Amino acid sequence: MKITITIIALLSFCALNAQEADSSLTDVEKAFRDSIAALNLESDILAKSQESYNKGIESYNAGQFDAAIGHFSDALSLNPVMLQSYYNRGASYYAKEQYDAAINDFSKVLEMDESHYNALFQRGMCRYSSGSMEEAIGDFMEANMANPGQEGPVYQLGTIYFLLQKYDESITYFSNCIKLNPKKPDYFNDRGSAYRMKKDYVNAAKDYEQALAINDNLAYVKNNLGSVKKLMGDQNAALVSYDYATLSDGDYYIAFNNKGVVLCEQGKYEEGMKSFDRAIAGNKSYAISYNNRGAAKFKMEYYKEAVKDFNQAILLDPNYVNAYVNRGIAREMARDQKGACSDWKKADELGSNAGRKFYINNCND
Amino acid sequence: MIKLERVHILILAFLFSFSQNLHAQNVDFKSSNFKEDKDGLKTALDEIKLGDEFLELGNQAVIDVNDVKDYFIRALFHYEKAQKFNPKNAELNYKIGNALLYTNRKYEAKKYMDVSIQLNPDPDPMFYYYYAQVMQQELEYKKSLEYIDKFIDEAKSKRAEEMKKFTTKFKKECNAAPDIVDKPIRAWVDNLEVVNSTEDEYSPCVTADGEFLILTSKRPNAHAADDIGKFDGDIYSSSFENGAWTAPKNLGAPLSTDADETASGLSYDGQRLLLFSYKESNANVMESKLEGMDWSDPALKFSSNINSEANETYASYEPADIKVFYIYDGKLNGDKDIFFSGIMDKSRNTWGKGQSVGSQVNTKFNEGSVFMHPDGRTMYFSSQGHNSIGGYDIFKAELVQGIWTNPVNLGYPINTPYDDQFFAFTANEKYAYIASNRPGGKGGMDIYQVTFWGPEKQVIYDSEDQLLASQVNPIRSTPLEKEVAIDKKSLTVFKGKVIDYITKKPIQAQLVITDNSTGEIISDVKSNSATGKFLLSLPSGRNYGISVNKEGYLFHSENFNLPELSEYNLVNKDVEMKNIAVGSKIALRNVFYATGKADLTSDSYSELKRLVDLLNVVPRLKIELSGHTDNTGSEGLNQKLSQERAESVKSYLVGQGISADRLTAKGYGSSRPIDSNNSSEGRQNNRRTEYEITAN
Repeated sequence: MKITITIIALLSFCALNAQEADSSLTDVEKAFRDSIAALNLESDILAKSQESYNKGIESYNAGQFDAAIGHFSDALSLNPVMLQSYYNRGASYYAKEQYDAAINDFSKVLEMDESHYNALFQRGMCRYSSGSMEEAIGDFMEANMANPGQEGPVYQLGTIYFLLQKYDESITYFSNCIKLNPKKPDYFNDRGSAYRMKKDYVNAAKDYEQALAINDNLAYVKNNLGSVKKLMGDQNAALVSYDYATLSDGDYYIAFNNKGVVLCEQGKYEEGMKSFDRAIAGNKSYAISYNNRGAAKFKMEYYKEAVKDFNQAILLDPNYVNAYVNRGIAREMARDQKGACSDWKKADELGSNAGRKFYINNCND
Repeated sequence: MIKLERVHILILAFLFSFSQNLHAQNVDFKSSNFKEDKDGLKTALDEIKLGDEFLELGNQAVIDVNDVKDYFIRALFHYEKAQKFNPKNAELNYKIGNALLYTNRKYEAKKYMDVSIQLNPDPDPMFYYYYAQVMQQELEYKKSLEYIDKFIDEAKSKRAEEMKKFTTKFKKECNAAPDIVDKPIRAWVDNLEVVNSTEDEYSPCVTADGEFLILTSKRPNAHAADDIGKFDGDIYSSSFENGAWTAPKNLGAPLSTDADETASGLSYDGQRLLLFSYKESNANVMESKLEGMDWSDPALKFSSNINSEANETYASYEPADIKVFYIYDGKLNGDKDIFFSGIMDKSRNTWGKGQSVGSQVNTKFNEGSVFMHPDGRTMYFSSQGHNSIGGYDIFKAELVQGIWTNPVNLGYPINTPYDDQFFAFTANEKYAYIASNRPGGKGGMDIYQVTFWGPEKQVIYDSEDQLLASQVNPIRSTPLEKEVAIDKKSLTVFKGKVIDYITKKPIQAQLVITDNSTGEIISDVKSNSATGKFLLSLPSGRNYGISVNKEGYLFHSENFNLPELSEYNLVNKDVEMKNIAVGSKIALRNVFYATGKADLTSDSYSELKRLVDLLNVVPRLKIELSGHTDNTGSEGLNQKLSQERAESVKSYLVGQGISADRLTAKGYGSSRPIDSNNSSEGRQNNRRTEYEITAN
């Protein structure tokens, strides 16, 4: 509609000029001339739209998503029916994690082309990212129907059902992914994790091992295998897997952290602390390892040092409920009962049962 | 093992001896050592003698498990005077150490015992008995056992024989203590500094809500001190306000008098107090009630069947208020035990005969204090017996089906090798108050606050896994729609007309327009037959070739550019075609002559110039120039004039460089009219100059 009004306006202007320029034209000739002028104007507007669109792609590829959104919007102001501009602007919003805006644009694409696979898939990703899982499932199902050979929608369905704790469905979709592409370790890892959540540790371990048979350099898979071994009660095998993970990636702080936890559970607090040190060296913003190191120091009765680590964990994550519980315990032993009660109260407010229990039992004198 | 221990003691003795030789030498209380101060020596010896009397009384009371009263304090009072005169006497240091071990200053004993052994490496075997206690206080249980064994090996005196029950008990304590000390209970034991002084504070009593504390203190008060400078015990209170205990306040009369009062049990609501004081060396349990802000005059708690010549001292209420538990020292062997009495007639204050709580609780050593928990089934008491880790310890026993369970040591650090007594518990079981003569206090017996940590709080470890691959490598691949080629189509309106080059008449010709860059024919149209016009649109910004074709006309071709314009554009292009067909006759309508003459007028040159151009463009073209008139006038003149005019045009053309052999001039007079001579218009048309193409 916009473009039509623009063309009409410009056409009138040009027609007037043309009349002034050539009054000898017959009516038929004038009509012909005017139609050509209209075509020229429309062509010019489309070209400008295309130029903006191409600039948008250039900006997107340079990671300048705001600029990309501006260019695609310019293109759409000149040509509101350009599907590609909606799609690419939607992609730009998605890159900026502005999911609602992205969903609007992908929906516009789908109004124009209801079987647009990429728009269905990307809208599903936006909905997944913004937590609208049921709607995301709908999009991925439609995307799967639009292009049945694609692994993406099937994998996302497996992932969503995993997050919804519907592990049987999740296993089904991850199994379908494996049928589509049996050489991808991710699918085995994720299915293994679904088995793990079902407490089917044997199949979980098998899948993790299969993932590693495809690619033995995946630190996170080795870490997951370690955690399953721990759940199976084999702490030593868990430690081996965590070590194996850190051999693959010397900065894989998660495995160092998990190893530290196992060592502390074995009462090896000194060694546990060293492992937490390595985790923190790998990721100085990793609140969990500060919390765990604080817990190890607490067990070694270094209460004030423990409080320092809990402080850091809370600084990094102000809603880290277990760090509040732990700091309260350490503060109590450091003879700071007021501080301890303050921490347990905060933990209670954040939903911790332990915090609530400690506060009620110790802070109502 | 025994051999090794003996070797160890021999080495110690050697070291003491070696040390003595190097640093210290025993100085006996004899005149040869104090020639300059014989009076001082005499006084010192007198003090030692007095001290010895009290020491002997005290030691005997210990052996008899009787109340040591203030024998050791008095012994020290004298010994310390002699010690000032001569601090380097092994025996006096030993005696002071001995006495200190049975006072609330027992932590000072080691200092004197160490000096004694340095001054005399070969002491009386009793020394090892007391030194074993010193080592026990230092938590050196292994050494303690070594010394007690040495004592057993070497002591052959009657006293040593009398002390057998103590050595047996002592070895039991030392063997059991490490297990207790190495597993401290979950509690802090803090000196309640605000209520303590350098003198003795003891027998804390607390209300169930934990906000009101009553204690007994022997700090200096308004009464007169005794002959050795010690004050009587008075009763004090402290309140828990704003998170801290207030400084203790002497409750004054009638609770605190110049007698030696001791508060022993506070009712759970804080409204009644059990206390005792010695009157003529006899103590009975008394009770005072809080009336408003004042405590009533204490009255005997029990009827006369309980009060005896023996002492009824530390007492505790029990929650049902039908029994009172108390410490009684009136048994045959004289040691203190826990007794209780039940009310028989409340209105007459008649109480049943006191009876022992039983041998599960009472031992052949002293039980020192008792506290009944508000649950009525749990008794906290202090005892030198059971598995004490040294001195008095605090124990707990529970009443199960009418029988007290075996007492349980409350554990370290509530209990220490020193005397730990009393136990006042708050209802929430988080705090308790005890008294102890352990080192680190303000002096003597002090009140300590026990803070129980409760069940161990487990710190929480957090693990993390990256269960989904997409957590590790987030899927952010978003394929974009591709770039588009910019398709800008700028059209130019291309219009014009095709006319005869000479006559300017419209021609219907075929126009073919070709895009020179691609060779593509863009348009193939005919011009209008009536007007010669054509009108079409062409993409701007290109170079075009236009070819115009009309039979009998010279082929027309030219090249032109249409500039790129963003908006409307109109290009006008007229095409003039040159007629070259043999036999074609073209009237030169714009050739004019002077009237009646053959002279060309200047306005004829334009058209004639086009004819020159045509003849130049087509060199093979030959024409006949012909003159024509209307039929007016004589035919002869018309013939002549028409010939002359044809010649005139020929001359002009030759003058313009056209070869004469390509030109023929001929006058036809009025013989070839092309219109009617009957009208002026027809005659005008008939008056003309023509050319006819004769060859090309």
